[in-house]
Amino acid sequence: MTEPRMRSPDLEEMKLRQQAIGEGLRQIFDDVVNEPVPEDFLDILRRAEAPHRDEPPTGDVGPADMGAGDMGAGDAAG
Amino acid sequence: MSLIQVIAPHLPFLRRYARALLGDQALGDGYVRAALEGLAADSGAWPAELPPRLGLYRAFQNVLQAAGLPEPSGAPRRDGTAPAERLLRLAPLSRQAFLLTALEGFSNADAARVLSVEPSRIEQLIARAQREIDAELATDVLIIEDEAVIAADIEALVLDLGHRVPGVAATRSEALALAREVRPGLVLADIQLADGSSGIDAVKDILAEHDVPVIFITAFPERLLTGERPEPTFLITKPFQPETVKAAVGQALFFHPGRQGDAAG
Repeated sequence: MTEPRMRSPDLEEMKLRQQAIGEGLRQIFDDVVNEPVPEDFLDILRRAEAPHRDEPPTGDVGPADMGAGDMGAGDAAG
Repeated sequence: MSLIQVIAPHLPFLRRYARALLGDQALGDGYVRAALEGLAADSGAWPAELPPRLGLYRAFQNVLQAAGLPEPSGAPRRDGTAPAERLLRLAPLSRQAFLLTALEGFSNADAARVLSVEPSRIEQLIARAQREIDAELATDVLIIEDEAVIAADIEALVLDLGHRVPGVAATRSEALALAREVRPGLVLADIQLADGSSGIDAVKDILAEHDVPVIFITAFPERLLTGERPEPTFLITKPFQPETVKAAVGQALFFHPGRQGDAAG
């Protein structure tokens, strides 16, 4: 039995290995890309564009805070 | 251009990423929905400084950061293929960097913008993911090759990846005997062997007894293409680049459905 002597891959090697796995992953997950987008996703975006914005913007809520208050991991599963 | 026109074309890809990242489409869609709700609730939340696809992934990332990535429960998931489960065992940030680049095709620089980290950090995260994958996939590799110099080259690169080489077989009968003895997790096989026997026949013998991924490394690829090709197999033509063989080894092991995470033990 010859034992392993693992060494760090160089960048080119790492890229090739990553591409090889990426190709396989796309074969597994690409059916999602070909599915229609759930209608409720598009409804959310339509709602965002509807002229209901008579309220002032809520102020300082930035991208980093988005969703923090109304979204937990458990909610996401539902 | 309206928000829907800007965002909608990228949603199928974000859903793919979410599913691969979280291991479940419904769970992934929950996070995507939350990201969209966040954008709808606050027009200032749209990261306008980014191109639309990056902006959408960043918005999703913000939700992930706020809510946290759920720990894999250990329970079987709806998308529970072996490769999907393997992804879930990667550390969260490494998994994100790996998937953004390998699956979604983002450059390291763009993945860094999505994750709000330095580009050099992405390189580290991908290297870490690769190490984690290598460690999980480490196995006994059977080499079937009658030319000693080539066998030594192949052995060296297999060892570099962290695998073990319990032996090299030069003939069909040696190959079968060794496979029975060591039950390898991967077979690398030449086609034309020392005593005139065939590597294809050797592999068929082995696959009849043992489900194992196979990579043929041959100067005669046409023999494999025209003949009856045993499955599951990969093909590399001699002379080979070591990096190509290493990439194929990783791919063959990562996607083999029968592999167990603890097979290396």
